[in-house]
Amino acid sequence: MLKLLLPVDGSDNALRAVKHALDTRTWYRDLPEYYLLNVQLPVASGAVKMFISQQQLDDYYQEEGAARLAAARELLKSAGVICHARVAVGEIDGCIVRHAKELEASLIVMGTRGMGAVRNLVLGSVAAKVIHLSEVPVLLIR
Amino acid sequence: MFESLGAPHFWVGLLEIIGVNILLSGDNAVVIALAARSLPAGQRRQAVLFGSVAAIAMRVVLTVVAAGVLALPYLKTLGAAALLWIGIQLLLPGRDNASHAATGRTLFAAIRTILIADVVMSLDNVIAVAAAARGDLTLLVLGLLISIPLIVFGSTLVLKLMDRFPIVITAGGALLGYVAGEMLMREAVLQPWLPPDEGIWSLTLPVAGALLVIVVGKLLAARHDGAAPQRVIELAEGERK
Repeated sequence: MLKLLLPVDGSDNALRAVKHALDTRTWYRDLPEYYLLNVQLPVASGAVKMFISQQQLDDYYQEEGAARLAAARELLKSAGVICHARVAVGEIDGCIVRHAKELEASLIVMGTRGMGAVRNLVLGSVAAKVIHLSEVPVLLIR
Repeated sequence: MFESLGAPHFWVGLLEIIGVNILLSGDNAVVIALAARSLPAGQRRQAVLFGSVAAIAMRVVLTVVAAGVLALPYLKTLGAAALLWIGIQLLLPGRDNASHAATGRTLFAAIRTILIADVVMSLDNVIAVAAAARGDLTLLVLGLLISIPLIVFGSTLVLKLMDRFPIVITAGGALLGYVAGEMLMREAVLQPWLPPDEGIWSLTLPVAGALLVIVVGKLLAARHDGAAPQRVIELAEGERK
């Protein structure tokens, strides 16, 4: 089963990457499984965790993540493809690479730049690090 | 009060206070925000408002007390040690553990959480600000005034900054070490053993403090480098928010 990991941060670029992954599904013999991933940066230090429960933290990350994933999920749902949406917490590039490995994804499809887009940069820092670290092939969409 | 504005040590102190506040206020604001999130929408604002006011009041009282306490013999040494420890802690990755706290869903529970958290988590900020103020009342007052908006607005932005640019954390730890060293220089009881507090010599302990934090922090952090289980939350099919 072909698994595509689509890291999404809510930016237009990320959505374009998802659209590309969707539009090109006919490239493959079987319909691929789409895994959307949004990574949230951890907001709670050890001190904060003394007072805030894991449930509260999870709720926060889940809500933030779901908001970022909304457009991408909508796009995939309306096309009628199998779509799994996940939120991971940690360092962005590390989480993406790790999740791709755990998932045994065949391909990562992501945007070159995300929300923190600086016009002059050819390649965003997250995309650059993912290419560097990933054992799974990475397809970058402008 | 205003004559001290001309002295360079005032501005150094002020920059230190601003830096320390930015670095250490994040946690308070995160607790306030997250504790309030568990409440129904109507009560959230009350919780945030009450929590912020209480945090500020607590901060003022504790800082004044700390400033007074630090004037006592040997307390500066203790304070310096505390700051060094806090600085080192900052450099350690402590974010991977699961929390064992309970979720509070009533306004009362949220406020109680915020108050207790305020006391515990303000301590480092209070010590650092009192230390950087060097007994100068103007600096102390300014330092407190600056912390107020940071408590209310600071948090997530600062924390995200710290995650994006890890160098900020290292710089922050070094800053605390620097302030610790400065305070130690002013410890009356140790004067016979300390280098003279003038010219280039006055930088010896501060720089030593900064370096100590960086070195020890990095060493300890390197030991922790393991693969902690990654937290992944699956969004259920029906979930639309």
